[in-house]
Amino acid sequence: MKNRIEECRKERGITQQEFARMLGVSRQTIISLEKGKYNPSILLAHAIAEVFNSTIEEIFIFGEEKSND
Amino acid sequence: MIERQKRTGLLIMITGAIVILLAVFLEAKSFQSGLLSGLGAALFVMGFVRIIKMNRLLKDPDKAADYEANFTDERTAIIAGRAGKFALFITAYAEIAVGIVAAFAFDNQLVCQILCYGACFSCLLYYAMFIYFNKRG
Repeated sequence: MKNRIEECRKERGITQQEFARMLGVSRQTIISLEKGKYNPSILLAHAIAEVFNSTIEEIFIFGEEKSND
Repeated sequence: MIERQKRTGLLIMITGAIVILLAVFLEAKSFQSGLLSGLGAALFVMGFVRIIKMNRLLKDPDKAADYEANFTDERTAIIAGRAGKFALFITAYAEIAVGIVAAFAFDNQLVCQILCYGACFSCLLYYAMFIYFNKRG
């Protein structure tokens, strides 16, 4: 699934490390999310949207998806 | 969390030292003595390494935060589950392969039976746990 996480994070001048701390996840998870390699749970997606004061639909671009497996 | 891990490291080290002492009281060259001293040394080193690792994390807040996040991180949990599943099946196949070699190349029925039963038991346990967590969750 494509997303705008990297773009939104950079707009706000947040580092990956800081962003990871805000969400309570590892930096590696942020890297995977930004590369579109990992699809987050609904809870994490909601937390990400909250950090950016946006909706989930504004951050994540839904289409034909592959699962995390 | 890191302080608790440090205490766990100390506990593992003490357990290792006790196991080494137990080995000393057994017969010097017996198989059990060697097994216990090896196990004790492994535990001792494991605990020591954990304490060093935690001390280093205490000095680096960024790495410490990343380490602590790994305990709650959903992606880490998924990866751990996947790694565990692969490790189980690779071990099971390896046990069966070694068991077959033991049976046909060395004519050792006991080793073959232990390894094959172990592999079957591991797989059965995996499916039992899968059904249990599937129903629970």
